Amino acid sequence: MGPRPGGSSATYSAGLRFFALKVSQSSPDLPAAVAEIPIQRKKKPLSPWLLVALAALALTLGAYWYLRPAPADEPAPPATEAPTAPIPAAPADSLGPDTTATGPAAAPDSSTTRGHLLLLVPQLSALADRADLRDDPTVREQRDNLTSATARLADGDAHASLRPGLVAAANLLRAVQQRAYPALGDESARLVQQAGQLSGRDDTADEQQQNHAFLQAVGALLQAENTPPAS
Amino acid sequence: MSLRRLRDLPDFEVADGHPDVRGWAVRGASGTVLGTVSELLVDADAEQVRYLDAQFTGAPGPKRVLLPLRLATLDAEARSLFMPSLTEAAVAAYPAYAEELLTPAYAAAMRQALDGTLGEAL
Repeated sequence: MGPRPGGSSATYSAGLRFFALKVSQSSPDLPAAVAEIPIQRKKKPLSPWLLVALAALALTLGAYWYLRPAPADEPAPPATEAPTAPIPAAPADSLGPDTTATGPAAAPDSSTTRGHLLLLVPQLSALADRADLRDDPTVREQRDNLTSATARLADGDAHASLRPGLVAAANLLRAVQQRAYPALGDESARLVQQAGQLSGRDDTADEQQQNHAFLQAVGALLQAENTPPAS
Repeated sequence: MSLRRLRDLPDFEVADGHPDVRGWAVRGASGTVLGTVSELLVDADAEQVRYLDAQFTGAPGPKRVLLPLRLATLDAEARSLFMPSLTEAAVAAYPAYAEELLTPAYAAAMRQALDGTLGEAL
């Protein structure tokens, strides 16, 4: 009698040693426990290339997460509405004072020389930007001079002198006159001369009167140059 | 049935929950150590170990043999494999295994050495 065919799996206890010895020594016909050791296909380990790809993906995601632009750095969407300018006559001008700014400068007060001049600046700029004038190099230069000269005033600098702005306004009107209004030559020359005599201060009543008279003349010449030139 | 050494089948391994008996001691009927299991011969189709390639170290001298697993019992704690059929006479008469293949002549000699009554298990 042989071992039990198709028997159970191998037994691994120490007690079987005694049983096996007994089978051999005392009763060879007894069925012994049949050892059985199955084999199996090896489990395929994860592909190293897959691991590399996963690591690269993780690194990419990590880099994107840490290097992505902060929401504050993203460009703002373009404005769909035009900003409301306090002075309708002022055209959009990148070099001019920011009329929409809510900085320290308050709204120009037309009762003071400074305020009056600042109210005139947009209108002077609009005149210089007119289609028939904006290509003239002298007009353009004087326009830039006016913008520069009044920048400190627009920023609310209390120590800024008025004189550069007043002179620049007169020179701009002079340049416009020479470009398109030959009939206004006397007025513009007088205005430039008047600007040269100003002190640039606005402290005394005398100074205030001179400044006021000058600005009145500027307004008058500006109005005259705002009419289409006789061609 | 084609027998292959397990080491020649790189895609196979001993199944989970079963011992890899390579390196275990082979003990005969008296319980003394006769040698060591060096390799497993497997039936890849049936996915079963059929024979143990063992090295006898005792008297009458070193000898490489094949042992049928079905005649063995295993002791995992002692890392030993018991072959009750291996008496002193059987060890002396056991044919040495020099071929890489199990030939019919070797199988017959193995049956004769172990026990005629156990031949059907071989």
